[in-house]
Parts: sequence; structure tokens; C-alpha cells
Amino acid sequence: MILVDTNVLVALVLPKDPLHARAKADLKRLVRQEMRVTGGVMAESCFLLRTPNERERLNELLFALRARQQSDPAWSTVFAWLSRYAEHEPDWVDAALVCLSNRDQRIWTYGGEFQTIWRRMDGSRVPLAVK
Amino acid sequence: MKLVNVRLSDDDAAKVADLRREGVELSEVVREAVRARHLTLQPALSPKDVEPLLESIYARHPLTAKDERPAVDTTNRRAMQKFIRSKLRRRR
Repeated sequence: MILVDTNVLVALVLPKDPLHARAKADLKRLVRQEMRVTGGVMAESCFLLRTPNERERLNELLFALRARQQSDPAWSTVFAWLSRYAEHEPDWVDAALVCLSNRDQRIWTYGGEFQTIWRRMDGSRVPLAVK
Repeated sequence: MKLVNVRLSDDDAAKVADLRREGVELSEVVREAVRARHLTLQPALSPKDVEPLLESIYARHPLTAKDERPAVDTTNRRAMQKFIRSKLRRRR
């Protein structure tokens, strides 16, 4: 299962996004996997995709990919993770994704912190769908 | 709108009663389950479907030139936070 981050959705919706070619290539590789999107990622995406047509593109894309809604982890877990990384001022969306990740739930993101700074609560690396 | 009657075992009926006590709207639970199950009926996409899929979506929902690029670097968390904050501030 793949947890999809905001930067991926925006890159797939907007062909002139600097990450578009990379996201499309990665999608070809990951298209058979089950995709999940959290409410936070959807909210962030809709801040960036403001016009009706941008949102329709996103809606159709998620439908075609058979993407499913992913519930957030327990708030207490997310808050605990946010406290641990407070000096880096992480946001809720990243925190929720990291807390949800495990060997079977990898994150598809282009956010550098997932490789360089963020770790899971047990100290292990965040499992990523793309390098 | 169609009405669907569903027979439930005693065990499932007890679960429904629990959900109702918690304020969960059962009809919405059923609708969500139907939609989720229906998604599984579609044939899964293959890598060769990706390009035509995206092109058809873009063609159906064209964008103006100014909307084709993201308003902010989506890999820059701080820039994203600033952008979203500015949007929220404008709404107040």
C-alpha cells in the first residue's frame, strides 16, 4: 500500500510542475499498488489546486487509480511525533504520514525531510515508495 | 433515490445499534461501503495506461496558462506552510 503525499498529487495534476515528469514515471512503476490519501494531504492539495478544473483532474485521477481515503493515526501518536521533531517545525500532514508508515505502507513523496530528518517513532527510517 | 433493505444477523444488528448510539449514520456507512467495493470492480491500470489516462484527464479539464504551474514549491515545507497560512488569513 502506498500513502501518497501532496507534492505527488499536485505534480500529477499540473503537467508544468517541475516534478511532473518524475511523478509520471513513478506512477507507471507504482500504478498497480493500492493508493491511499489522508484527509490532510487532500486539504493541502486543494489549497494548491484552486480552480474547479484542477480539482476535477484530481478527482478523476484518484478515481482512476482507485485511491482510497486513509484515516489519520491516533491524534496522541501524531502529537507525540510532532513534539519529538518540534525544533524542525514539522506539519501535521508529514507527521501523520510518518506515523502511518510501516513496511507495508510506504510513503510516496518528494519531500526531502522524509529521507534526511524524519524517522518513525521507533527511530527507524521512513519506508518510502520512491528514492 | 433507491431504498435498499438489508437483512442482518443478531451480531451485526448489535453492531449497528452500537454505531447508532455513537451517532453514526448507518446510511452513510452503507454508501461508503458500496462506493469502496464498486471501485474494486474497475480493471486495474497498467503502466501503459498511465500516459493516455493523464492526457484524457487534462483534455477534459483544460487549465489556463497561469494555473498550469503550482503557486509554490511543493517540496519546500516552509514555503507551503507560508502559502497556506496566507490563504487562511485572507479568508478571515
